[in-house]
Amino acid sequence: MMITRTAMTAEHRPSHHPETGALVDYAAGTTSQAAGVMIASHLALCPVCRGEVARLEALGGAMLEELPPTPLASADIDALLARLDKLDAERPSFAPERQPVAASIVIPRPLRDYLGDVDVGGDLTALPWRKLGGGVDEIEIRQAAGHGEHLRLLRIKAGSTVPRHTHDGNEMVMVLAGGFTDASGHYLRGDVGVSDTRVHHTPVADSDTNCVCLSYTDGPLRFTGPVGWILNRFIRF
Amino acid sequence: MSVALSLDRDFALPAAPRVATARPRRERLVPQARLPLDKAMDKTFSAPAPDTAELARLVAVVAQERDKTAFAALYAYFAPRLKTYLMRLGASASAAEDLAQEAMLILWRRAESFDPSQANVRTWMFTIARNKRIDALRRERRPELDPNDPALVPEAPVPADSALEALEHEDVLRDSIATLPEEQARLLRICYYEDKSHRQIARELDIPLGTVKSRLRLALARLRISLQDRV
Repeated sequence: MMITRTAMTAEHRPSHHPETGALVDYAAGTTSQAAGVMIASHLALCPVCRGEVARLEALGGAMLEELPPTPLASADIDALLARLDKLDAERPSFAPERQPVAASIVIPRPLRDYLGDVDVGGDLTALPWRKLGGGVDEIEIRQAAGHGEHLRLLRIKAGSTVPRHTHDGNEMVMVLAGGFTDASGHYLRGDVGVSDTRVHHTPVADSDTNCVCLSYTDGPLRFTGPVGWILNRFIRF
Repeated sequence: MSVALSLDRDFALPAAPRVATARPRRERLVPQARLPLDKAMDKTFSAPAPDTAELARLVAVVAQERDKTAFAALYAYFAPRLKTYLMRLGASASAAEDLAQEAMLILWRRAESFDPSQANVRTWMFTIARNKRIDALRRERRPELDPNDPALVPEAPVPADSALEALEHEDVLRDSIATLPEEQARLLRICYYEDKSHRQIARELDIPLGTVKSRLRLALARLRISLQDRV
């Protein structure tokens, strides 16, 4: 059966989501930038979590009301009102202009913003992949990563197994294309796998197509299986 | 690699933001016959807190009439609360006041794009102040959803009454927060007002990380924010 990509991408609604706490932090604005890229990209693909974040933002709004007001040092707002006039005078220049971006139905906008000028209009092979070995390629997205964090695109060759590994911190992996299976289930576009130090997992890419994922870690990844030591030398911590 | 960032992120609306369109300013609808502004301000600062409908009305008046008295009323309500919010998150009193003012200026600039059928004014101002803080204090960009992203997976169509329910949700929330067990309410305040990881929160409250997570889930289920079981 022929399935167009549009139909596939538009119709799959994720069934594996980030942890509640990760959405709370995103809505509260305390999430790191790299984790924020992960969450915002998931939101683009997941109407359920979009709704939840909207409600969490409403909670932030509702909680404002119970905050005791702090008196303002400049209760006289003449200066501010004068700035309003100035703003109005300058108004036309405030019309926000979006930078035109190549349309991509594969890479959600919050992530595409970090991939630079590469044309990612659906063709992920145009990205500057770096071989890790074992059928796994990566692109490290450094701009967003804070101390101890890593944000990466991973490409796992169709049918390949990612060597068994664990994490010293937390990992979120979201499928952008293709799919993978591990002990916790089958992951397709938009699905987020969450794991921490307790999880030793061995994801296997679907056999029909390469699997491209966005991976966020806040601690080093350690490969623990027999081939792992090779990858441990190649992956940058 | 160069980084292309969205330019108008300050202006993102919660829920379903609309793209701002350059629109000519509307004609003043009502002739001005008001108190002098300083008198209006005095009155405004001592007035009872405006309710949700009143806040939306004030924003509409700002949008349609560029009315400074309406703006002053919004300022009197929001600026001192946003100042508290920003101070709790670590801003100095003067930085918090500056950022609160910046947030209010965004309200002035973007009032026309505010759509009361999509969001609540308090929620909108919360997201503006939140983003201002991230930009200014953490010197970071907040990765935001783009409602026009061709990759966006659309929502399944929702019945009209559930959209309305979502809109009224904030008011319901305010009442519901008061009914939460103290430990849950306290945890929510820490999550929103202290820039801490859940691991740090667990350490400070001297409870296991798993308890932080489950307590949060309980609170959000009770507030009908989480509509499904999560990890």
